[in-house]
Amino acid sequence: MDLEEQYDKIFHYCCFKMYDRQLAQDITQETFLRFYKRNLKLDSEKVLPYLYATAKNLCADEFRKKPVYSMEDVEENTICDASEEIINNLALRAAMHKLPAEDQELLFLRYVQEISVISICKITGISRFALYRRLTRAARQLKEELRKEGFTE
Amino acid sequence: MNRTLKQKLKKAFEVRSPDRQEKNRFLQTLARSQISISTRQFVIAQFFWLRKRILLLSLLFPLPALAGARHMNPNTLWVLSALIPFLGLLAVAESTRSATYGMQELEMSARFSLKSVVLARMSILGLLDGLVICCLIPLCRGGNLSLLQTGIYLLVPYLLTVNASLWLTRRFHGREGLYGCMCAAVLVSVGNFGLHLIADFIYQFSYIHWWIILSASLLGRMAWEICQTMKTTEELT
Repeated sequence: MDLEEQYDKIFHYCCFKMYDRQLAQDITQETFLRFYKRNLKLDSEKVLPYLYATAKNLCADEFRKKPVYSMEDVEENTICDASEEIINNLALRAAMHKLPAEDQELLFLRYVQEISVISICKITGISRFALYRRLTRAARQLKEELRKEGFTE
Repeated sequence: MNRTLKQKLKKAFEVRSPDRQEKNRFLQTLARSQISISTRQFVIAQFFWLRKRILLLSLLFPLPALAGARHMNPNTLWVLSALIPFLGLLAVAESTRSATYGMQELEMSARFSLKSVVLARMSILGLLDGLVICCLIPLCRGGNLSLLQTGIYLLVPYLLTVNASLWLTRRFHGREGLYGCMCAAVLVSVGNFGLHLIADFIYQFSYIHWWIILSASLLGRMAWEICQTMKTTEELT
């Protein structure tokens, strides 16, 4: 995976975490700057998990600085990003938001970003078995939420 | 999770790609910062690219002075001031090596700009030559000559050769330029020695202010010649 692809992935992840494109861009760039400043000699397959872990920590720091994002901001950005999407997408997003934050992240990394299981384990620090179990549970909960809203697959 | 839901999920969280301009600008800056090294590291790296025989020859220059000081004490300075132009020749030939051997294109495609490389090499060789000349001054001092006089009589032929060589390397390329530099060094060397034999009086202390003016103007001219050489290199890149 080249640098541009990694940048896009991290940006996408930051957008998912922060709901703010500008902030997501700043965090993405900060992630890369930190990675290169440390001048780490990592194997190529370890680079992406490292970048994700850094971005995740930076997002958490940003949340700590500004602990509560108003729901209006979230909804506004969500709607803006999904303005051209079908109504199902909005429902899916809404259903995702009802899941615990950790589960949302796991679903996003595994099914939206298609990150390998090994990499997700490295990013989140959980075992493969735990990841599999949590992904299954999160998917089941998501389907449940969708069903409650009257959406079928 | 079934395939349909995965696809829907992927679509639901699709975001517009990051601002392309901003992304490219950042990635380019990142790429540049990755390869940046300090000036000191750069100069040290360039030092190791200089030919060892040139460095060795430049450093061996004090040896005839040492021998001269023992065996032909009064003439040591004149022998050395006749040899000094070749020190200048070595410096110029080495710093313009890429032009002499037609390697400019290759150097231009390398990591650092040719201008910085040439400037770094010139600075290293200039410092080395300055050091050698400083070492030679007390060794060559003989008769009733002051340290200032000895220094100037050594410096003038060196500066004359460097100026002429820099001018020639800008005008003539490849080996022609190198031959021109050789001619200039020989002319300065012979002229210097001849002047000492024909017009010995100009080396008296009463003429020292003229020598100081000449040295200062040659130093200024050398700075200008170096700037011109840099400009020519810049035009190439």
